[in-house]
Amino acid sequence: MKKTLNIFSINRWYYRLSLSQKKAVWGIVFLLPWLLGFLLFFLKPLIESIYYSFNKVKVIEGGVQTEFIGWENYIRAFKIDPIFNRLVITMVISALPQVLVIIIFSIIAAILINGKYPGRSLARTIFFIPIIMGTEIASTTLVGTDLVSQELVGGRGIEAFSSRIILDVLIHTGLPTEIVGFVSGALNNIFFVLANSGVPTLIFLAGLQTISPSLYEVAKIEGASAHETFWKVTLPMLSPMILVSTVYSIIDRFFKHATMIDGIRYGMIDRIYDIAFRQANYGLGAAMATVYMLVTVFIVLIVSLLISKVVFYYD
Amino acid sequence: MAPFKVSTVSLEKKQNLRIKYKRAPNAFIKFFTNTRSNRSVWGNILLVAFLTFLAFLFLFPVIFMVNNAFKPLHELLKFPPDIIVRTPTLNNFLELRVIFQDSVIPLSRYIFNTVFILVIGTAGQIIFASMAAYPLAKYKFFGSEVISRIIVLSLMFSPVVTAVPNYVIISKLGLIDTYWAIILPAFAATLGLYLMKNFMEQIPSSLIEAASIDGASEFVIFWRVIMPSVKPAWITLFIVSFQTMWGVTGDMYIYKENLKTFSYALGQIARVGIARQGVMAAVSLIMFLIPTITFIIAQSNVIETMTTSGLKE
Repeated sequence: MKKTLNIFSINRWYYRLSLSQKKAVWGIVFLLPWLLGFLLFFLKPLIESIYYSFNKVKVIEGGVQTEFIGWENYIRAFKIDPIFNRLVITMVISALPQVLVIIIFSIIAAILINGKYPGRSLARTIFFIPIIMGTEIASTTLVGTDLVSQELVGGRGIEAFSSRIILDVLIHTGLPTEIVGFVSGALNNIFFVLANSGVPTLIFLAGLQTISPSLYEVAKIEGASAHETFWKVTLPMLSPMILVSTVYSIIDRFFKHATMIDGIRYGMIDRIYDIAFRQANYGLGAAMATVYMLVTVFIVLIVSLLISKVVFYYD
Repeated sequence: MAPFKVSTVSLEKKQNLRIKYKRAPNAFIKFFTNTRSNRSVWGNILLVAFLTFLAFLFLFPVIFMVNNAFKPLHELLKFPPDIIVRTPTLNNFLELRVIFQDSVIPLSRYIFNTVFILVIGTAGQIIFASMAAYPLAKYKFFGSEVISRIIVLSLMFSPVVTAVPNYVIISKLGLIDTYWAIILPAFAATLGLYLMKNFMEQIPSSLIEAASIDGASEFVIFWRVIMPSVKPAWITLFIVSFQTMWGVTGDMYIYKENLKTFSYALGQIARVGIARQGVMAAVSLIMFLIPTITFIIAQSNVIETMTTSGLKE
């Protein structure tokens, strides 16, 4: 008896809400499972690690021991660490043009593999290959585990592998080293774009597939040329996806950023990992990660503000 | 009169010839691109040539990889390497089988672990991300703006540094040495939510209103209206998520040997060194093939359904 009463009271409570309140209730119900996981596995670690960046951290049995030291970790990251500030600067400077090229290339690639022609699933698979090639095991087999070959080509996965083979061939032909260097540099860039445009291409492809065919029919009836159809129909309908892909690419680029300093290759994430775990200076590592995040947030904020000016949304 | 007539004939002939010349390659190109034929012929030929070049660049490492898996050891160690295998053998795969027969944990156990993590992790990630994305994209309620901002923000933090706090939480929850140590954090991944949210924002609100006027409950709207119309988005999410979950080794949270994943086992085998070069080639082929096959299946699924339903007005 008591139980049924309870259900009725919940029912009554629900029906007394206004429409927007009902929607809010449903919104929270839908959001809740994900939000719980997010708070537990992401937000809490994130805040903790920002907190650790202001502390001297010692990992002891069953937890960590902290000692507050203020901004010292940040000052060390910029003033004493010889690598970190250069990594941050090269990261920002090199990523932006790269992202621009990656986005343009992946829009073109997505449009090309979206057409209707025999064997297009083969074409799509071919364009998907770089994503798999970027994974750890595939890249170690291709490039080889020896440090010499990794340093020689300065890359991982498909880009490194392909340019290494071509480098071998070119050196054997006996061409002057300047020409070999130039050609392999250019090829490296091509492979670089190819290897990084996998996920953006997939996003654009999915975006293209949600555009209604009737829009193209209308454009055709109105006599629009292919050129006009692209600029007036395809691109505006794709523009939200351009925002998504750009944000993704910037983050991805920053995450994979690596550069040569004094003949040694340093990666952004590797450096943070190195400091935090191998040198056991967790506080400094956390400070670097926080700086890295703030830089990323700043860049993404500017870029997405610029892009969202031209993004076209339905209603 | 005469010169005029002659000139018209020759003009017609010329035009016919031009049409013939123009159409022949275009029919060929049209077969490949299905674009309207008002693009110039040479433009099309250039395009196909460029695409073939790109496809070759992409395929080149794959051909090398497939061939590598069938090479005997002396061919693998050759420098400079041959692309095509000379004396193909199955030895590399047989050796891999022997290694697994010798190991304490049977191969089937590793495969079961990976499949369990893959299926639950990927399905859960898609469902929870879509469920959370729907209200964030289509409703306005207290806190929805803030949550959207935090999601984008959290995409930008390096997961390397949250490793220690993450470990502490997972061990406090008692999830160390269980599958859930890998699966539960995957549920909360933000990239999927961000992707789904951006696709759902493009669904016209009138569609949702129409459904609710017809008496659909919120859950029915989500499951029968929203999810089918963003199918390309969640197939994309499926592909990306499958790819990451397939590569998960879980060596941070799982220490019991019988709970480790297939890719961890393969990675351990391959890491031994130069003597196992052949096994390593076989391993990398397996690591490569399975996501590729999944991708092909998933993509063909998109093709079949999405060509008919563009839901944007």
